[in-house]
Amino acid sequence: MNRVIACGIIKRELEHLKEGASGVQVEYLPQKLHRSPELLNKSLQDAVNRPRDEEEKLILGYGLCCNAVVGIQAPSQGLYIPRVHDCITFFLGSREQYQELFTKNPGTYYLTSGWINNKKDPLGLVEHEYTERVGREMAEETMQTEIRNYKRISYIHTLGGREKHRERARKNAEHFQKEFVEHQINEEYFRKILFGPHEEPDFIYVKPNEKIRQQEFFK
Amino acid sequence: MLTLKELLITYNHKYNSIMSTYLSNISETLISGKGDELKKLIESAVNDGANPGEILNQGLLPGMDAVGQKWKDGDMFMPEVLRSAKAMSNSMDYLRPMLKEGDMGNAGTMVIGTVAGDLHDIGKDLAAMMFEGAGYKVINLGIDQPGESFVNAVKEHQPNILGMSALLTTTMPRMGEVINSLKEAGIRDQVTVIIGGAPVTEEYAGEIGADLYAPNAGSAVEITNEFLQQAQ
Repeated sequence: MNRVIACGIIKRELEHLKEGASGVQVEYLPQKLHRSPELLNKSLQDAVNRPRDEEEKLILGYGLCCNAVVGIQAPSQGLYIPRVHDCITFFLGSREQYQELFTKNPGTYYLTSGWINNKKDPLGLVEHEYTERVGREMAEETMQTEIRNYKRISYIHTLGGREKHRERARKNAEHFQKEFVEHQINEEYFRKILFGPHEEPDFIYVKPNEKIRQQEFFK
Repeated sequence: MLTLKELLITYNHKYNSIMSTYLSNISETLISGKGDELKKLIESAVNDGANPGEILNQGLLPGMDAVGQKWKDGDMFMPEVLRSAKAMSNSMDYLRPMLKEGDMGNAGTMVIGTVAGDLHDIGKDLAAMMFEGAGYKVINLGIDQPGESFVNAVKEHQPNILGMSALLTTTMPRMGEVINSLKEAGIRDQVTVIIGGAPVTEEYAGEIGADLYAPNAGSAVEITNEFLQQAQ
């Protein structure tokens, strides 16, 4: 049995792929933990520590995520974690593709259905988080500052994504005066997370009771 | 009847207590981002005889340090951080003409920039502002700076501090490469290197051979000043 502990932001994609499949179970942690690496680290360690069948193979549906996973101690059966810096690589399908796009266009802000649905797109943050804290004007000013060096907003067409999400991504680009581009999801990494193979170099194996180390992600 | 000495002691005691109330109110008001209130508070502190250097070093800088910590802990969001930063910047503009050289610690020259491939500058610009406020001459290279740009700037400006920032784990390794380039150019020993940014840790700073690590922009100045004082 594969047991995956994943970020809620990729729930749509994982659930879509595992529909009807047996031999894999996924539990999700709230996406909002993403904002605080320390909180995420603690929640993830708690989830890893939950008593489970020794026969289960444990896989994390996370990347380095701003070091949030560093120091997580593997249980007695060890664990597997994708060798990626963040979830954008999952959506693009491979580390090579991520590297190529990142090198070519570092100023691209990626959006997926998950981010938009959770109201974590730039406009969503302004409307649903920032404005109630500081008023609309300062909220707008903050987001303009946060993404001022980004040139493009890309919508990644995700599994089970909807036209309204694409439209929302386009509206973000228009509002913040960025170029709107689109990418197609490559589901390969998601598939590997669920069903394997969990092999080098795409996955890091953390031996029983050892800790996840940052250096492993730079290989 | 009080003696003159007793009067002075009482006066000093009262003065210190008023000043410490001012300083903690200044910190609190900065944290809450109330710019107008902060301005009034600083003006009345100055009118009551507060030392502008003390206002900066014991009121504003600790306030920004707390802002950085609250951001890290998830208690403050980005718009609140920027609102506090704005209030800090305005306060420094007001205080700057009143600051004496001695008020500003070991002021020197700093070159600062975000490393290649990284387009983020909020933290880096905050740090630049704090160093400027503390009396440093700051050369801000901007974002996405290749290694040679840092090396050239160190050669040209002869700073005592080089600050580097990265927000992504993908770009963080560029900081170590810059340090290696400084070594190759034979100028590593001329400059104290301080690094920071969301994914950067003290351990990482040690690994790549940086001298200092700052967990947030607010603490960067204090950490640097302490290091320079000890080095003297």
